[in-house]
Amino acid sequence: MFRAAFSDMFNKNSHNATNSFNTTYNTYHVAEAQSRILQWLSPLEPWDRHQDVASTRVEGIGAWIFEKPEFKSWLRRKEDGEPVDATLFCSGAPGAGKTYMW
Amino acid sequence: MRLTNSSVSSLIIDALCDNTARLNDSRVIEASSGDETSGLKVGVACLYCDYHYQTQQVATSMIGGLLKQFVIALPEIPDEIVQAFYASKEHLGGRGIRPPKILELFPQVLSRFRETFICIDALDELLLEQRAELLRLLKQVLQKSPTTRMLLTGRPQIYNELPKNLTRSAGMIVIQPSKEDIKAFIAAKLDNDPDPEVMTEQLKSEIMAYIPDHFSEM
Repeated sequence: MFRAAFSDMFNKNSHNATNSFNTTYNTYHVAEAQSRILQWLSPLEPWDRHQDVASTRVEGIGAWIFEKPEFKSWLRRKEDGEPVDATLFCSGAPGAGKTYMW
Repeated sequence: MRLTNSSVSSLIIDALCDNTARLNDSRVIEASSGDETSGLKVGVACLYCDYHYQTQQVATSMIGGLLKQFVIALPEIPDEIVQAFYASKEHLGGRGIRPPKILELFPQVLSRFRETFICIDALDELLLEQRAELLRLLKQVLQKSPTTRMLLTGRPQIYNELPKNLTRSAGMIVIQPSKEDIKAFIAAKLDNDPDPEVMTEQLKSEIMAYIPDHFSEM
């Protein structure tokens, strides 16, 4: 789907497009287009930060959160048969370790 | 869902990615498990707010960053995203995506997953006006995506901002390290002591005995 849509759009938008584009499909152009589209969505790369945080956390710390009724209710979206809000807020003072809960 | 093949350890995000397998609660697992043949049953996207990057971390780039993660997790970029990208190039001279288009595309992308989670850390580190705008945008995403849940962290005062910009009924958990957390942290630090020559077993024992008792549940 992406390749078809990209091909259509590429031919429509590129001054360098030729009629033989579809038969000389260049995966480099696809990767380049994907990269530009993702950059257009946002220049941020949050998963890089996640890697940094996760690499410094200590295994097992904070696992108590899974036993909290509020967490279980949020995950199930129900509490005693009643719907629970989609948002759960984890509150903590600076240095309490909020970031390392992720 | 993984955006990268990571060997690092996460707590909540790993649990959500692993379809709650770590949660050790059969009711939770039952509620959260999906079609095992589907690779798209759970999608997780995260943001880490950082006051060092307040100029880059504006509401539009933040919510776009969330959308981007869900898009990357799909087998290929959806047609509607591709078409919107080229339309913006034609009409707007290559500007980044704008909030109305994000709000139009976001629910369509989320609908490709059985359930999705949005995790945002340290909301207090965003500028006030950007935080308010981000929460308002997220409110609209949640309204159109009933299978999406959101986990936020921040200093306590941020919770008071939620009713105005996001929801009046968000749940809340107070994060404070348990004694076991502190013990595990200190033990890990001692194991990785950059200068182990000056550490004795007696000093280790004293540290492990004293600090957890005096600094837990501060």
